[in-house]
Amino acid sequence: MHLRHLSLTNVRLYARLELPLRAGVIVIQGDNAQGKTSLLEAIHVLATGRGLNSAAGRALIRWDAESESPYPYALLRALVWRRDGEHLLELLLQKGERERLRKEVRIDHVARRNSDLPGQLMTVLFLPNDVALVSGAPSLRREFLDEALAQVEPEYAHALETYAYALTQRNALLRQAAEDRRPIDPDELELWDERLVSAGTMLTLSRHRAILELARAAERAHFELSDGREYLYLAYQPNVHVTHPDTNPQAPLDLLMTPPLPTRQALAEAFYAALRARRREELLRGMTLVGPHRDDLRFLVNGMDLGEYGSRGQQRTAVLALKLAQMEWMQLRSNEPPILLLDEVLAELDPHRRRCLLERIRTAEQVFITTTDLGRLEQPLITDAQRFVVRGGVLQPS
Amino acid sequence: MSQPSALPPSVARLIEALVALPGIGPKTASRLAYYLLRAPDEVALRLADALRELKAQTRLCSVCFNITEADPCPLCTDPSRDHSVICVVEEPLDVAALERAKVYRGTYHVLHGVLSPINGVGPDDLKINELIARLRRAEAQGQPVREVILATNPTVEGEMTALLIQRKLAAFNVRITRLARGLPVGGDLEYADEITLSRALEGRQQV
Ligand SMILES: [Zn+2]
Repeated sequence: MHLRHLSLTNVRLYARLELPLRAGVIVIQGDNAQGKTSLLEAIHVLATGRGLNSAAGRALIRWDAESESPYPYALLRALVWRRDGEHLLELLLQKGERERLRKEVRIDHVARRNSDLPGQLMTVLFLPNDVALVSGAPSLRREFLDEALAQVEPEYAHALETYAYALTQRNALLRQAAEDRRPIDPDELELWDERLVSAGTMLTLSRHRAILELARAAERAHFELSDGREYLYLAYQPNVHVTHPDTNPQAPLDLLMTPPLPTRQALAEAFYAALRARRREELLRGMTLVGPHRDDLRFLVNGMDLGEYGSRGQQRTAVLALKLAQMEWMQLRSNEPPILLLDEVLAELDPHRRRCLLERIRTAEQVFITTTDLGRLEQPLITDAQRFVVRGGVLQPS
Repeated sequence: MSQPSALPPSVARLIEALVALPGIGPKTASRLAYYLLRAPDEVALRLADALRELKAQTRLCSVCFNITEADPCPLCTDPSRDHSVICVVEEPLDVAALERAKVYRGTYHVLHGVLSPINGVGPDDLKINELIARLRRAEAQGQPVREVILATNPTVEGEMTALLIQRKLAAFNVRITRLARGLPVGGDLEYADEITLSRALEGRQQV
């Protein structure tokens, strides 16, 4: 797939942008803080619909728009070419009263649910600080999984929304009980439990399958990137898991291995059992302690946990391997090549890794590359590329 | 939103009161306030009277909790209506919408909200205990309720509220139905047209 046109109104630095695009390489050159990253971010938001629930969505609205209207808005529009034809995606974000954010999604001029947006456009985003995916908090890894999965499984995006809703409501209920503000109605708690378990089971199973598939592609990519010296293993650590009948049911998860894929029913039963086991604690602490919002993913190289013991270089290689695997996996799942968004990542790679990445880029349908300096890019890469210069939120062909 | 301090206190007070209403922002509030200020006296006085009477003359019906001037309300005392069927709705405006459609001849039960812990709304805030008491009373009087139609909106909150009521009524020998999915997802009963409403009602399904 590729973008044929991108239009931004009041997005970050961009007051107005109309950008006709072709398949192939697109190079955007500019100094820092001129709008390079914002452009890639806007495309990524249209693809994933993520990060819009909070301050992040409001932050996307151009700051100056505040002074022009009491209810400032940002409008993101993209014309996508896919195997099934051309489609127009529109996302409107508007600040309302009391810090509220109104979101409107339209696909081919028809109003749709927010969770219908992910996957209409598919992207793989490479950022300079991607290494935090390995070394940072588990929430970053969950977000990576959510973004990748929402783009290839429409039901995943819906389940994610349902789960987030049930979790927020259930947490509020538990908190009110913990603070003695109102007693728990057992029927009501059971209702939220059911919602949590049905959506949570779906999320856990989808993540589990995805990691099994991603792990194979990531191992191959990492092997190549490390010149055949290292074996990367991605270990899924689901918060809710089915313990093997032969082992002690209280046994903790093996931290070095993804557990065997459970059936939906076994997983749902394990989820209910875990909720029962921790009910008292949940009521005391006033929050949900069980579920995929506490999942993690570990990066192991030759049996060693990279997040804790890996060198910066190893972590960087692993994260690049993961992104290359994501690219391959998305194409395999959807039969459609994702658009690559590379934000200043080529500059920081050594020649071997850079060659590996460029090799993969050549097969992509559309690639956006940002750089501060055109001289840092290989000549063959930029010869046929569409080139733009960005300054202060204004983009011009170069 | 800061108002110019030059505003007379009485005008500022009206704007403040209007802004507190749903769907009215500071700009609309100012426009309404200045309209009333310039309009003939009787326009403002008629509004003031209507507001005062709204509070003085109305109460909730002790049977169905709809807004009424007489208790029980005319709908609950109408002998031509089918008292063995209760249609459960979120708000009084939903009753008005269904009555406009003229397709329903049973009685109502108004919840005055939807289940939402984050907004501090629990089962006890939703007249659900009152619904249970109403079913018991009908049973004791030898005129049991045959059917409860759950007509909450097709939003997530509306669905969760319907599921909760379904659970609470499990012990009763009563047919529980849900409006058919003719209504758009996320749509409001209040804004549905009459044809859509009657289709939703006729196509209701046992849950
Ligand atoms: Zn009544």
